[in-house]
Parts: sequence; structure tokens; C-alpha cells
Amino acid sequence: MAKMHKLIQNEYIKTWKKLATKMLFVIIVLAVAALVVISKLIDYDYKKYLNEVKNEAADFSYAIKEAETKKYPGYETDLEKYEFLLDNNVTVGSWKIQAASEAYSYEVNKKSVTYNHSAETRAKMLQSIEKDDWKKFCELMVQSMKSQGKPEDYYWEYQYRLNKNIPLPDTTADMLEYPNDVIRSVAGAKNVLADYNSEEGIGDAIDTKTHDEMIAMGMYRLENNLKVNVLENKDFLGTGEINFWTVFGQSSSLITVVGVLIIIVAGSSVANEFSQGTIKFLLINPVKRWKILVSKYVMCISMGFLMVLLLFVLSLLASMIFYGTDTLGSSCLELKNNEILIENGIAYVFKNYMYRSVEVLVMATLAFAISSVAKNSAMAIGISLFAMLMGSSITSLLKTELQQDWVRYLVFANTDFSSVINGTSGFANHSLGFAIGVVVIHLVVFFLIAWDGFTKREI
Amino acid sequence: MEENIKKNEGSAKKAALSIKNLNKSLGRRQILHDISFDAYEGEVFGFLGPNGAGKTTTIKLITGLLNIDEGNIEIGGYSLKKNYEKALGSIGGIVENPEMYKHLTGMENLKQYARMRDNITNERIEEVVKIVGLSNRINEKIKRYSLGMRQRLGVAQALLHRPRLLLLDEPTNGLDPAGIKELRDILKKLAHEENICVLVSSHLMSEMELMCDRVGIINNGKMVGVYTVEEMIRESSGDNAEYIYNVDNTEKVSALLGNAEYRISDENYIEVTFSGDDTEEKLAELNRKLIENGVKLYTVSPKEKKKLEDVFIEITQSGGVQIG
Repeated sequence: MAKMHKLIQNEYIKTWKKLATKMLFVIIVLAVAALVVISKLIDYDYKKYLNEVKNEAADFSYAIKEAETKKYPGYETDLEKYEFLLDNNVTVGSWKIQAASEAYSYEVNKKSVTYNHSAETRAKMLQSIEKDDWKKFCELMVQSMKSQGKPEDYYWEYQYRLNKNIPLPDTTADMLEYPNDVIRSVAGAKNVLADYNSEEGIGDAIDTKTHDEMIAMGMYRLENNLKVNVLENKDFLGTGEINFWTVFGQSSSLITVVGVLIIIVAGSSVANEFSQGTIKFLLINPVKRWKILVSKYVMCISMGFLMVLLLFVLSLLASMIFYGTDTLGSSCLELKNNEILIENGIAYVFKNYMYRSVEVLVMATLAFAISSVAKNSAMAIGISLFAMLMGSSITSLLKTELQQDWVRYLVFANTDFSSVINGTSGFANHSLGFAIGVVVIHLVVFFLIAWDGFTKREI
Repeated sequence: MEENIKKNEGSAKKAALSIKNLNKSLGRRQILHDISFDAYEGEVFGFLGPNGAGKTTTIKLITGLLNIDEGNIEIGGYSLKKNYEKALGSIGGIVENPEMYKHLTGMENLKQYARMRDNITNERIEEVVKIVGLSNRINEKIKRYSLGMRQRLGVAQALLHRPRLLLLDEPTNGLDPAGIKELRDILKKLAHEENICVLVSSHLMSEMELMCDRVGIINNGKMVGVYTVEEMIRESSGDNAEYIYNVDNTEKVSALLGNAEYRISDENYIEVTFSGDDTEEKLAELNRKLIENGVKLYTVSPKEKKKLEDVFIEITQSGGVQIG
């Protein structure tokens, strides 16, 4: 009789007009504010560090002392090198330190394929350092390597910088900035691979696939001039640097806060009608009980979704306001089966939001079920909060410490869809279909429990 | 009881509520035993019984808050079991206390209920607010309402959808005498002018007497009987009339009484009981005789009648008496 949307409207009015509900939304705003404050603290520390090392003269006193006391083979050459660097006022993070090593290390490490430059080349290298001429140094490296018949991988960086006219970094900050960071990671991977593939077999055993992928990804970014890969900046742990994407990406972890809040809403929606005594007035209306239950469930779940959306929008705005919009159009690049998948960065973060919301949905439904069976909001909220905050830890403990594979059937092992997709869930043969199946079964069971408890209950 | 049902069937009144052979157990205890009665449109039906007799259980069964074990309830001709939404559509009610959403205003509460029922206009909401006399305070939050105001809001809520059957569980609880009178007038008006069946439960006979047309008495989960209020009053007065005479000489009076029963309660007071028909004629006759015989007659007053409350207690304790 009564239309469903009117029942849902009722539930929204009842819930929204409570001061407590408004506070829940305030908490979301506060959570975003806290995220920004924390990001600014990390950013401040990081910037301070970069500033400190920016013009800091490289300090070789420890290395000099080491050489003087231990007198290892070739220590005289090293002392000479340090003296030379000190004379030239080299700063921390400068390319000159690496260049000097090339120039002075002819006797130290015979094993290394890179240190076999001619005396003439080495002298010219020292000159290039003194003249602060990175181009000259790059040219010398390329020429020397070529003349020795070394694989191109060893001198790729120098060739690349010459071609593109990208100076070698002079400070730590330079070194960590695009494109130097990407060039460095590609060059590093190329070196490791070259060592591994060399006839001398000097490289360590490595996972060549990972290095190939690193190179492919880096080259793609360099070719397309992609300053930021959202995948590498998706949270505070990704890079030392704090930018728009690290803050926006990290905000998805605040969905746990939404989880807590919506468990409170779902855990009280039925139980409060009992504790206030309003349940009798609700149920003497000419509306079937299941309709009332469904309207309450729809209210809880849709309000949870609204909270997630609010969190998303607020985080996006906060990140834009505090970290600028320059990189807003950046993409998330991911290598899968030797193919680079490109996804809009904002869409990628939203997808992460949705993945993380699965657990919230399950726990809110659990709270709703307990609330309508036990008529007790404290119990419903307590149990569901415990399940949400501890469930996955206990499950992974059972899995890793006690090798209990059956825990794969627990809902906690299946709510993290992104780890299932990436194959990092910790369970063998864990398919997305299986995870979705387990989650759906739990949702249905929880809802049926609520249904049975509510529609047959005697008031 | 049998007789009563027959009599009611004879009338042309339409049953708004018809309960047949209702049984209900809660846990192991059987609360209701074979309850049957009808309540008609246009009457205030009192549902009377001591605390714990099963009044609220019956009302909860009628409103669908409890499930029926056995028996049948029809509301406005719709079976509650078979046609739940239609049956409940013609009920309005207050069960136990008038608990409303405290954080909402009176108006917001009414709108909640309006959305759950069909075709309720804002004009109708204003109308019921006026009926219960809450117009001045309707936009205040319920937290600030007194129990009496909440009770009235409960009635407003119950009236919104023009129910054929209005169920009120102990509606005068917590109301002051003025409030009780107002409520009584509202309910009478609804029943007699708008042809609604109003079912009011109570454990106080005195309240029922002033409000109800008929009274159904329940005790220990069993229906004791259904009586009109006139029947109850006649039972309370009985066929005898007792008067207290305040005179100078009780001896003289007793000599003049003839076959009337008397009791000398004091030096100047004598209680006289007239039996049979025409007690008033007999009273006038005695008064004439007394004055003719020089008795100084200071006052004559009727002895207080047996209270309806006592009749109610008698009925519930004896398990029913035949009346009429």
C-alpha cells in the first residue's frame, strides 16, 4: 500500500534529524581535515630534509677515516678522490660523486665492467667535473663504453640524457624529481640486467621479469612525459614525496571511518525503535513488516554510500586545495602481462574506494541483522565493529601462522577484491568469482536473519 | 453473555471489530482463553479488566503486534490473517504508552505516520491537530511534551486516516481531570457523530461509566461478559431503594413503617428500605404519615448506591453475573 520511497523518506528523516547523525557527517569532515594535517606534517619534514641537503657540501670525513685506518687495497686512490671532491665543493646528491668514482676507481674494482676507462678518459672526466660540464662527462662515458664494446644498457642513461638534453642531477632534490627519478630506475634496472646477462656472470640471481617491467614502465613514462604514475603515488607509503595523488589516494583508507559510522547507523536503526518504544506505532500502520525492514536497510546502505561519496568529494577537494591541480589529469599505469594498462587516476582512486567499501557493506549488514534480532544496538555495534577491525587480522593470522586454509571461506578473506584481483590475497587459486560469491552469500544470510527476526517477532 | 450477543445481532449495527475464539499464549502461559466479542460502529466500547487480565494482549493481537495462536479477528470485515494491510488500514490506535520520536516535532511525527498511510493531505493533518487541541504546540519537539500532550498526539496519529476502529489502551493514564474530560468528549463525539467504533481499555470502571456505551469485561484472560452501561447501573442500584431519615423520634418512625425494612443506626437516624415497584410513591406516603403523626422530619436523603466499581469487582470476582 504505502509506497516504498515514502517509507525510505521516513527513515531518512528520522535518522537525519538526530543530532548524532549530523555528528557522524562532521566526523567525516574532521577525518579529511586530519588527513590533510598529517600529510602537511610529512610534507614539511620531507621538504625540510630536501632543503637541508640542497646546498650541503658532501661530507667524506667518515670515508676518509675508514680509508686511513683500514688501509684497504687501493685506499690511496680513494683518499685522492675525496680530496678532489672536497676541492671542488661537491654537494650531496651530485652527479660528480659518481663521476669521480668512474675517474678514480681503475684499480679498486677490477671485477666491475664499468671501471675500465683509459687514463686519458679518466683525466678528461676529472676535467669535466672541475668545469661542471655534465654533457662532457656523459659523452666520455658513452665513448669509453662503446670503445670497450660494452652492451648499450650500461651507458643508456648517458646517451639518453645527451639526446634529450636532460642534465645529470646536482642535488638530492633534483635526483628525486621527474624525470631523474624515472631515468634512474630505468638505468638501475638496465645495469642489473646487463650484469646478469654478461659473460662474466657477475650479476646476482634476479627476477628478470620485474626488471623488464620496470624498464618498460619507465620508458613509457619518459616517452609520454608522464610526471606522475598514480599507482606509485597511491598512499603516503609509496614515495617520500607528498603530492595531490598521495593524499587523495591515501584518503581511501578513511573508508574504515565510514565503516565505523555506518555500523552505528545500521546497528541502531531497528534497535532504537524498540528502546524508544516507537516500534508499536511503527508496526500498527497498514504496512507489511518486511517493507519497513527493507526501507530501513535501504536507508542504512544508501546513507553509507552517501558517506563514501562525501568522503571522496571532500578528499578530492582538499587535495586540490592543498596540493594543486597540476597533476589532476595523471593516469594510473599498471603492467599486466607485458601490457601497460592506463586508467584515469581519479577513476582508479574511486575504484579503490569501491573495493574498500565491500567490507563496510558486509559489516553494516551484519550490524543490521544483529540489531533486528537482538533489539540491542550496543551489541550490534560492538560485534560488528570488532568484526570489521579485527576480522581480517585474525583471518590472516589463522592463514599464515596456523596454515588453516579453510579460512578462505570466511567473509574476511574475501572482502578485499583488489588483493584478490592482484593475486596477493595469500590464498592459492583465489578467484574474484569465488570472493564475490562468498560475500554475496554472507550478505544474503545476514539479511535473511534480519528478515526472520523482524517479521516474525512478537512486540 | 449469550443473551447479549443475540441482542446485538438483532440490531442493525455494523461490527467494526469482530473477535472469535481468540487464544494466545506467551511462553508457556496462556494469556487469552477463547475470547469472543464484537464492537460496533458508532459506539464507545469499554474493554474493562483488572491489570494483567489480558487487555493489552488482546489489543496487540488486534493491531498485529502479536501473532494469533488460534481464532480470528476481523476489522471492518477484513480478516487480519488473510488481509493484513487492508485490515490494519481501518485501525488507528495507541498501544500502551504514546511513545513518539522525541527528537522530532509533533508535526514531524504526524507526517511520519501520514506517509505510511494512504491519501492523507496536509489539511487532514491540521484537522486532527485541531481535534485534539494541539495546534499551538504542534511544532515543538516531543521532548518538551507532557504525557497528556503526547497522549493527545497519539490520538491525533490514530485519527489521521479516518479509521473505522479506534483502539486506545488506557488512554487516560497520566491525564489530569480536565484532560480526561476533554478526551472523553472527543471520543464520544467521534463515536456518535462520525460513526467510528472507539474501543477503550481501562481498569477503572468509574471512567468507563462516563465514556462508554457498552462494556466488555475481561478477567484472567477470559471474557466475563458484555453489558450496556445502563445494565451495569441498574445492577449497582438493584431493585431496592434505601433512604436515611433524620428525625427526632426513631421509635415513632419504626412503628409507622408497616412492612418496610429498617435499621436504626443512631438516636436520630433510621435507614429505611423500600422494595418492589413505586418506591418513590412509598417514600412520599411515609413522609406524609410522619408529618401527620407529629414526627419532626429534619432531612431525608437517599443512601448512597452501590458503586459501579463495586459491581465491577463483584463481576470479575464471581466470574460473571446474569444481568437483565
